[in-house]
Amino acid sequence: MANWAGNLIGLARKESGLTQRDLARRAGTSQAAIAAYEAGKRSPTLDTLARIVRAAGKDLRIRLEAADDHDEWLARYEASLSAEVVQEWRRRDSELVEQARRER
Amino acid sequence: MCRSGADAIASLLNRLAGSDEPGCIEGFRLSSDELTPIAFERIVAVLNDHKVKYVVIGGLAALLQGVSLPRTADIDVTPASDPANKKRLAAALRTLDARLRVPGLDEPIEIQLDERTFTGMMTMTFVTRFGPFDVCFVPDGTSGYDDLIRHVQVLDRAGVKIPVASLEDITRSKRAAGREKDAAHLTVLTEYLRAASEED
Repeated sequence: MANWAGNLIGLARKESGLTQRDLARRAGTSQAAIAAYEAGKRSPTLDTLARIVRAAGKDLRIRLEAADDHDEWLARYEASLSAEVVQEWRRRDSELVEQARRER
Repeated sequence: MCRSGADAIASLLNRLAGSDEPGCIEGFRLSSDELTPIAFERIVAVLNDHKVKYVVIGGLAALLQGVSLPRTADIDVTPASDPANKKRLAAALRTLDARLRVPGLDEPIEIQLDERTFTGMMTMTFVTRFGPFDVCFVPDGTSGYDDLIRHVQVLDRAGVKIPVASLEDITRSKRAAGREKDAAHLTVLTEYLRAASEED
């Protein structure tokens, strides 16, 4: 849950084509507060989060799902890999991104 | 974009336990061979060799189209769900020495891999010789293979043909999944798609 709320605010803002200052004005807060939320330096309450994303034209909806440990398992799996393997994996991923961008 | 189906996996295990299938649960440790595993091209090549109909989805599909998402080590695919394709998929999984990863267990288990393996399953997670491999028949926000194949992009990487879901479909699915990590991914995808449309 590293910066779930901040990521949601950033996503809502960008999808609505707003600057941090625009969103802050609409939500009745400061640009500095929006920036701090998006950077994960501050965490809004649920009410504040709902109010901010509403100001960006979005509704916050929350649902319960069955717990899923897949990402935690993958994190353990990746942690079991040697540093060399991980380094090579990341290097190849970077190359693949570059190749795709060249092909565009 | 795809969730592990703990209940469905439990159902599968029960089915195997109640049948004559050799669905043995064995101890598991990553062997040295399995520590060379982030080789999705090898997995894709095996799927292609077995003529499996599938689309690569998730973070890897985005990365292969130039979007640098912080992806995990697994490859996620959506296979066609017709019986003949499930049979081909099972054969590919056997070639890959795939073992089933079960929610709540660290160690994958060996199961009988045939077309019946997928009966009633929406999502299955495997560990193969070439890394983690996830099968999701109906990703969130989509209706499955027939939906995703309409906008598929077929890429060639080192001579291997890789069918990947379109960035728009990946975005649609991540939006529907609504997982906390997807908010960050969606921000990156949204900005990439916006920049791409402005370039066009």
